[in-house]
Amino acid sequence: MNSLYMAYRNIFRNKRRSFFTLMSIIIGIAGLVIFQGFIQNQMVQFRQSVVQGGLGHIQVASRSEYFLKGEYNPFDYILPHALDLDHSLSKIEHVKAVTPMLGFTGLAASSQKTISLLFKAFPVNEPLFATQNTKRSDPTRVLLLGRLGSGTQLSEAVPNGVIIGKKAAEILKVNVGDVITVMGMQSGGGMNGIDMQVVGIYKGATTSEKYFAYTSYSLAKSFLAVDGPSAYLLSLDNLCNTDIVAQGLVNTKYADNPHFTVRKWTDLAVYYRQVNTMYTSFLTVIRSILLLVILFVIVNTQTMSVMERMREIGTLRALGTTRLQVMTTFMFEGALLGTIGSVLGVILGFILSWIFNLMGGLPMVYDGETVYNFFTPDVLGMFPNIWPVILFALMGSILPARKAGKLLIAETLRFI
Amino acid sequence: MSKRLFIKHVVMAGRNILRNKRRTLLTLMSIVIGLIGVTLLDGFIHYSMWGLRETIIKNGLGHIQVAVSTQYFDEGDMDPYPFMLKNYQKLGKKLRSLPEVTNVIPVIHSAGVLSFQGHSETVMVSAMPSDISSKLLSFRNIIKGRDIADADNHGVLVGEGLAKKLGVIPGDVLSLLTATKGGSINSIDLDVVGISQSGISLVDDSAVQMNLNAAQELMMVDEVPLILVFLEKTEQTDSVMLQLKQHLLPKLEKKTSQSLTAKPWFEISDYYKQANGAYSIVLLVAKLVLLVVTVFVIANTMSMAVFERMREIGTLRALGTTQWGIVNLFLLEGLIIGIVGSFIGTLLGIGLCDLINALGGIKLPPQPGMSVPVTILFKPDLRSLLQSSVITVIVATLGSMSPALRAARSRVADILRYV
Amino acid sequence: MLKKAIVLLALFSLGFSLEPNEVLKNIDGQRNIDNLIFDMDITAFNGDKKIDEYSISGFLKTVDNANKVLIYFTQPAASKGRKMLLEGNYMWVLFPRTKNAIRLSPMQVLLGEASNGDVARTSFASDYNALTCEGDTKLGKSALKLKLKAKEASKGSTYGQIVLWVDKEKLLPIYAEFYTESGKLMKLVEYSDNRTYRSATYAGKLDIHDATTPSKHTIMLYSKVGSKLMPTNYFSKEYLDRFSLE
Repeated sequence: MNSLYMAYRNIFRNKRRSFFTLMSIIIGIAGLVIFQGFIQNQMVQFRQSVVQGGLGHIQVASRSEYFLKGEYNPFDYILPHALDLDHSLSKIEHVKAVTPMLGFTGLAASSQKTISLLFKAFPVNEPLFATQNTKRSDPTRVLLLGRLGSGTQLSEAVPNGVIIGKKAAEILKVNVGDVITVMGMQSGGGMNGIDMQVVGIYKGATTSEKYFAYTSYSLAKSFLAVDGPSAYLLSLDNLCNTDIVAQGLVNTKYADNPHFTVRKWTDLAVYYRQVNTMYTSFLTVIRSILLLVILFVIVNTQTMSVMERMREIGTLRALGTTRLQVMTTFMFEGALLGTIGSVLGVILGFILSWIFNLMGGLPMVYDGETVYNFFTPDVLGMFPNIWPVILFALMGSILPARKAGKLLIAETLRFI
Repeated sequence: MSKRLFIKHVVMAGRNILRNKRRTLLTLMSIVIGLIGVTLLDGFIHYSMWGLRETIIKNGLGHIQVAVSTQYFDEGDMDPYPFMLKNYQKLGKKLRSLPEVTNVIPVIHSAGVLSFQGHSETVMVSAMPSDISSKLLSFRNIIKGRDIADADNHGVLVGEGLAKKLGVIPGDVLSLLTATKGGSINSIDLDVVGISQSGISLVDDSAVQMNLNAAQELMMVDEVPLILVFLEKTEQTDSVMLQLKQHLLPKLEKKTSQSLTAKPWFEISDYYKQANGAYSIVLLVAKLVLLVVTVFVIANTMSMAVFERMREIGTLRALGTTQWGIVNLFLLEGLIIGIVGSFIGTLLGIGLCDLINALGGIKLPPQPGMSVPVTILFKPDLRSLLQSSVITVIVATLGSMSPALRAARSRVADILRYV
Repeated sequence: MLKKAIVLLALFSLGFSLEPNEVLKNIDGQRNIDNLIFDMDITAFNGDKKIDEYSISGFLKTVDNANKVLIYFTQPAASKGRKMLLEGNYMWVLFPRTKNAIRLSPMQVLLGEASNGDVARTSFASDYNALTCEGDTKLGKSALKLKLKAKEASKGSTYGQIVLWVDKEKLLPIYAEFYTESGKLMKLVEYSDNRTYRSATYAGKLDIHDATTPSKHTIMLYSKVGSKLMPTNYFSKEYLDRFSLE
């Protein structure tokens, strides 16, 4: 106890040195917290983009086969309206929105060219794309399939509206306002052909732009001659409720539809697991490097600090303090500095993250585009940052203290 | 300032540095540690970006692709017949003649209908000569069965999602139908040799890979619409593109009387653009954080050292050293320590990278698009290290400025009293 | 009749060593009606179940040694007004009340029901060379079996090889097997209900079976046949919009 008290007082005795040591620790840890918060935010945003990208939190279909073959070939998987599923699904706890979907494949012709397109149809009350004005990603949206380069969203005003990708528009040589004719199969096996008006052109990955087109659910129903969706997309109030709701759905018996299949977004986004792993592994490596730097700095500083107090050690020993007591004092000093420093560092990190977020994100220019980064550090995730600091601060103090302890008193007093 | 005076100052700075070895060591070490950290991070960043590039290039893209027109890249994969390259073997040989080019692979991408036991699916076919491709496309990911070998003239690799849709496994025999150049229908029976996975669902749900000769037989052509060019080093892409655009392609266009165009891999790959974007931002932020921390630590340490020498500064001032003289002194000391520290730090950092690489690197779980665990190696890039070193030297030089300036400006009496 | 007499004479004079291409020419010669105008009922079956049923009016014209076909859907109401142009290996489809005609490549034609149209309008002699000709029995009748291979320069032949059985005496098609270039069987066709129009004899009913999905077959029945001279420019994509049955 004595040593601890000594340690505490020592720290305050040499304010300057303690201050500087603390500052190094604080800044280092704050940097780590910010970085961790950044990565965590990236992962959150990625999850969100996956969910909003058309998978929803949960999808339900009439059979599991739908998820293998039925996405653009819906005729065997139509959920008839008579089931009134959208109503019963929306009553489930945590379900915020129920969106019926249809997917189909078709040939689209302009006056110049004919290409093959994959269509996805959603009800028009849900905006599908981000526009020029949408700056920050909105976690409450049901769908965010990309960014509109020109034109507008699908709306009831243009019932036969369609949104195509920029590349497809280039190949077809059409612009917003032009009409394309779409030919596709109908239920029953016949072919149907209608005109669709291009209301918007979206930008995305070139491959997506070439093949994916979006139209209204009601138009798709009449075009395909079906009376229901091939799947429902469920959006929940919070991503973490996915498992509960999914389990609940699985347990419910839909007597009319015994093969009713439920899929969580994690099941459907094969890619997700791997991207998640990538972020986690990046975080691990970079965190290790950062931590290593911080830790060595602490050791460095502590070692120096001890070296400088040789005379002090000598004096103490001459006054009768045991080697062990000296060592313990230094240990506690290190531990104390480490603890205070890392806790303050964590607090600073959180405050800075909060400030950056309030600013609207930390802007960084990448590839001509300005990206705004947000930080969402996770309190629990900080503990692995704190204990190594305390440990190393401790170690940084012990080793030189031990060495000093071994010296004869006379030598220590002579130490410069 | 005269030269002699300058040298005097340098010598003075040098002697100060050596005088208090312990203090010097403290500041030096903080610089060294900072730079080791930056070097490691840099090595990691460059390796990751390199790994991403090489995966994409060796997964069937090549460094540069040559076709008859840019239109081919938009529309040619559904119907390649309007875009056939005449005399592609000669074109390939001429492209091979460039010193940077290591290999040239002719490729056909087209659409077809794949059938198995009554089920049909529309597919995208990629056909290349199997002898070279298996050696070059070392990043192709086979999850079941094996890759197409020389002997498999009628072998086919089926994408994972497609294999599930049709219900095929290695060993099954499929039938591929397509329209020939003349417009008639032709078919070929193919043996499923393996199941491939690229991680991109659009590809895995519809892609098959087969032997070029078999595809040419099926399509009744003896040409190809695309040539993949592989270079010795990815960094040579831009210079080779320039050579092609300015000299070789116009020459070949005249010789073979057809138009030719070349596209580099980074313009073709969607996956690269997305992945690169994600990687870059993360790594940029990481570098920023590390740099800020390092800069702060160095400045911090140096400032601490200055505060400890207050009495010394006071004495000097009392003895007549000007304010400028004090500042100058610390600048020089900082500069020398900065240079020495950067040098040592960078060397040690590179040494550490080599050591980790030699020990086999750090093993991480699979990256997106691959199912094989990834080994992280460190590949420091000298140019960015130089940048970091310069920044460090500047920081070290200026690191002690804050207290030094304060000391320089204060009254001598106050300084001497400083504890 | 005169043509038939010549053929029979040829048969007797040469014994049974018939030159295959000669035979082929005669077969086609009998069938072909210049500037054909026809009405046809088409029914697609899967097993015994009718999966599709429609009626069309069509015009066939030989332009530059290639057949061009213009089609107008008359039944049922859902398809009425749909127009198609078969030109070489490509097909244009114009749906009623739409602006653009859709171009189907050979691949897309292959995937759809339209591939039956290719079978119906195959011009044996102009697109194929007969390699062999021998005696055989088919569907209980004595027949000549010809092995046909598509001519290199042919623009209209979808199928690389055809095995054709014709009635030994009347030289009218009874049965045909359509193969890909590499020899994979794609379609099997039964010709029946022979009728005459002026000097030509043609099969009024074609039953086309899908070899890869044996349960699927389509029956094409000519309900009216005639000859009408149509201007060549009618058989183009640009005219498709204006084309209608007068």
